[in-house]
Amino acid sequence: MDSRREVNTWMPSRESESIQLLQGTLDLIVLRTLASMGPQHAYQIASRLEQVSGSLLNLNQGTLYPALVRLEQYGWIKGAWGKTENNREAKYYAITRTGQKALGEETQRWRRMAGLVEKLLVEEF
Amino acid sequence: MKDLRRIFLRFLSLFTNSRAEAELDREIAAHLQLLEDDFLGQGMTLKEARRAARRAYGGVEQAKQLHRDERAFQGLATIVMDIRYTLRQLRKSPGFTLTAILMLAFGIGATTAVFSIVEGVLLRPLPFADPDCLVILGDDLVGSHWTRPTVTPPDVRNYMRDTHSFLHLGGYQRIGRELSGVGDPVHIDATRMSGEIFSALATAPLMGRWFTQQEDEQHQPVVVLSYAMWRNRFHGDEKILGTKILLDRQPYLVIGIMPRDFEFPLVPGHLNSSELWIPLSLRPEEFTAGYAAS
Repeated sequence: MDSRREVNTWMPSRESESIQLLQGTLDLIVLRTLASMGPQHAYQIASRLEQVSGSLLNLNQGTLYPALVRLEQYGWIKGAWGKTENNREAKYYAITRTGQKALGEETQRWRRMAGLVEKLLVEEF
Repeated sequence: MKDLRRIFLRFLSLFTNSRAEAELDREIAAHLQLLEDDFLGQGMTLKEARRAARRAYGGVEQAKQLHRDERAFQGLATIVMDIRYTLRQLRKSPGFTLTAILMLAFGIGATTAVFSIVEGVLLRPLPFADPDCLVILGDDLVGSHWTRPTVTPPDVRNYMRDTHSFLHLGGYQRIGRELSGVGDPVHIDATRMSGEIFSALATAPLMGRWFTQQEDEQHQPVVVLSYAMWRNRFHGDEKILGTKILLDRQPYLVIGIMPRDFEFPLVPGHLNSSELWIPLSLRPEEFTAGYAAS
């Protein structure tokens, strides 16, 4: 992935337990969320992240926006205005077909990377 | 592919900035509203809910800035802004703008014109081998109004016979001739010149050969064609070599064709460059007074 800024999009957390995100991870998480849960607005994505990660990823919801604009510029997701159940307006992001394909590739890449790191760590000890 | 797409969009975003900003404002407001709704649902007062929503969202300005950085090339964005500002200022004072533009236009135009002349006259070497060793001789007659120094036919003969400072020396004269025998008769620009001049210019013919000084002196009716003449008039036919064409109703034997970029005499910027070359072959009457060949 190309953005060196990505790590910085996460506010430094005061909680010692929270983890720093690797480059490109946020993109993958957002893509995965949209693929499995259908079109979501930013708040829903952020809520989902909090729900899945517990307090591990302690992020402000606004920091999701750069990832969204980046993914949209890649053509992997597409935003459209809609209404929530309570009739509030919200911008819903849906994964595109190229996004689906990219998700597959990125997942593969991530698995390989994670597998490699895991292997190294095991061998170390 | 995805990166190309992104680079393009980040460029494009520079020019759709106000729309993107409005869209972002709307999205953030909607987001905050949803957060607020949820906190209200948890039993908070409106004021508390609003504050909690802000806290959960994080710094709005910060998020906006991150969004901007991600959306467009920010370094370029300031340049675009500067350009827009400049254009606005220029539009406000059309008199100044017009003056500035005209000054620039004339300045650039004059500089280009002068440079073109300098380049053509001084900088560009002559398109012949050994351009440094080529000179044009001429007699400057005191009291005459000739802008270009010329040499009379008797003097051409005398110079060629008596001067030994040059490797090759010859005379030439631009003339007009009627070309007939192939297609409609036309008037063409031609040059008659000594065979020696070909030796001085040292440009090899594209096909065939030059005429020699000997042929010149023997009044041989031979002709060397320019590339343009050969292509346009004779359709690039190689069999033209060895055939005869009529110049002023006199038959001339075609013996050579010059390369495309060969031009002599050089008349830069003119269309009437020489289309063929025939021997100078000075006639007896030209040695009497009243004739001039340059």
